[in-house]
Amino acid sequence: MGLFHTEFATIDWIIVVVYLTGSILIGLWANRYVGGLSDYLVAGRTLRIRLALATMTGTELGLVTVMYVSELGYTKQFASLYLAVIEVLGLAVIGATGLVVYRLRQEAVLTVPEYYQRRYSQTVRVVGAVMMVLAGVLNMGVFLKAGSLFLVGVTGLDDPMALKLIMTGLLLLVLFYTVLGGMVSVVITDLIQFLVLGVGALVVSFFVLDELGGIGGLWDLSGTTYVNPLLGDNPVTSQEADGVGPWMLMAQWLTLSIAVMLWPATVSRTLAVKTPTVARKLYLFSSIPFLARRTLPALWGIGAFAYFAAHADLGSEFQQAIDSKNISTLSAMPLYLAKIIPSGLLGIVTAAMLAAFMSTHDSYLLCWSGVVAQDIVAPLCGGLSDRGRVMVTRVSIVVIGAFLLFWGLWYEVGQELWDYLAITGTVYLSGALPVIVGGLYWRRASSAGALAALVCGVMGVCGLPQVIDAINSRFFADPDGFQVFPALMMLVTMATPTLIFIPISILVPDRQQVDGSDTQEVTS
Amino acid sequence: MSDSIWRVVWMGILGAGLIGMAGLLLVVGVGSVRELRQSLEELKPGDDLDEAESPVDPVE
Repeated sequence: MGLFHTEFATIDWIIVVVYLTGSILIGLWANRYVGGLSDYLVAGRTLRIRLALATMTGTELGLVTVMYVSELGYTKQFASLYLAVIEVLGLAVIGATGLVVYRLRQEAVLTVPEYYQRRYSQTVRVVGAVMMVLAGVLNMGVFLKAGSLFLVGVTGLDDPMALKLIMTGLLLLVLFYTVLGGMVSVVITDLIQFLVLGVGALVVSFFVLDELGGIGGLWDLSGTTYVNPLLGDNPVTSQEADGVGPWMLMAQWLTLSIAVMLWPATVSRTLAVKTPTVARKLYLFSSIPFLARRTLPALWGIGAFAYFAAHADLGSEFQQAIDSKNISTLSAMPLYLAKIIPSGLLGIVTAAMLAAFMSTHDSYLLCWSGVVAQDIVAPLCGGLSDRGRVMVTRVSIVVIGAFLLFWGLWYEVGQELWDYLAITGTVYLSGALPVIVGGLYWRRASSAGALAALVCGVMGVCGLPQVIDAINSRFFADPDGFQVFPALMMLVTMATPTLIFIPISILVPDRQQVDGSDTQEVTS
Repeated sequence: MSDSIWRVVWMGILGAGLIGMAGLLLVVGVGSVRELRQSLEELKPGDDLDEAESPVDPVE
């Protein structure tokens, strides 16, 4: 049995095609429910808790999440689960206290930058929107690549052209039903995708557990792998500093805690729910699906690690393929699943993963495109009609889709996928943190401080390994002396906008604050 | 913290993830279909005026 051997057969293709055809029909059907802009962007704010939870899970348990979490499971085994703890704790705290999300939903805005204008100024809104779209689209740029790597691994399809055509077709499919039905279509398809994906994830986990020898086998495996994330070195590899360590733990804790609170695609779901109380509950209950999204794919990655360790010939072939840059550690999980899941079920699992792929793409596309229409084009044009905004949103979906296709198919991710996502996410999150939290809770937060913080978010790209290498070779050339490292850079770039926001807000207050006629009353 | 404690913690978290996903499917799956029907009823064209119908940005 070779590395690319797969159980994927004709019946599996049939299952996948039937599922995708169903998605097209739903997109067409949902279009009849779109009456106005708020129907299109936030489904008329009609979502109740269960539906919001299902659609939130559909969005956040995307294929890219499955891929990066399983990659971490493969490279860092059990220690990678520290991310699950951080994320779930963050959600539970927000859900229990309503921190930020309750007040944000009270504002009854359609997008986060709309809040920027209500609290600060139109300039802050436009700049904030540009930064958000820039970070979001760059972040999303690798989703297509991750999806294609999954399909290659599972189907054994190694023709690059066929693969590109399939990924293009998938993206067009998502564009089709998102452009037509907006959030209504996204919610309906997300619900179906949640059900298919949930069942698929449990089926895969059952097979992985069975292959590992049940709970006893998993327990034994934990005794011979990397379990302590406080260790900077992974004990099962010979390389130095390829583990987590205290610095990375701290950086990820900061980034992830802010991301669960302020990531635009998550916030857009918060803005679509019926009341602020539902928004708070959504966060509290979301800790369950978020725990699942961080644990189940990690289990599959751990399974892949054990499988390639037990089958030395395949493990060695896999390592050679990685060394020759043909594939990366991202492919470990799909290659593994292709061997342990029987034909028929593999089709259902692939349909579930494609569901995950589409449900993330549709929400993200709608989120960024809504921001382009609402917060960049409309303010700059002096206002647009409802119909005009829906039109601009639809055009933006297509333009962003075209960019994703171009970027996703040629950009090579130079580090672990999660690190890339965290770094590009920092461009938005680091600036948004002081601007949103300060705006909601600090009366002296000013437009000048907000603008400085948002622009400062660009520093986030300094976390990319290419930039860190350049900084070290320019300023810290001595390899035995101090050197900048990724976790430190993540912490610095995340904290800097806040450290700039506070003094500038104090030194350059808004005019209303100076006049003592502040009408920007902070809502209770 | 010794490795044994970490192993117990991770096994507990993996178990919670599996049970959580199964429970979520059971509890949310059925209820969300009913809620979707209610939402679509509310969204039926002509039911009410859209709050964002105004030709200018409401916050401007």
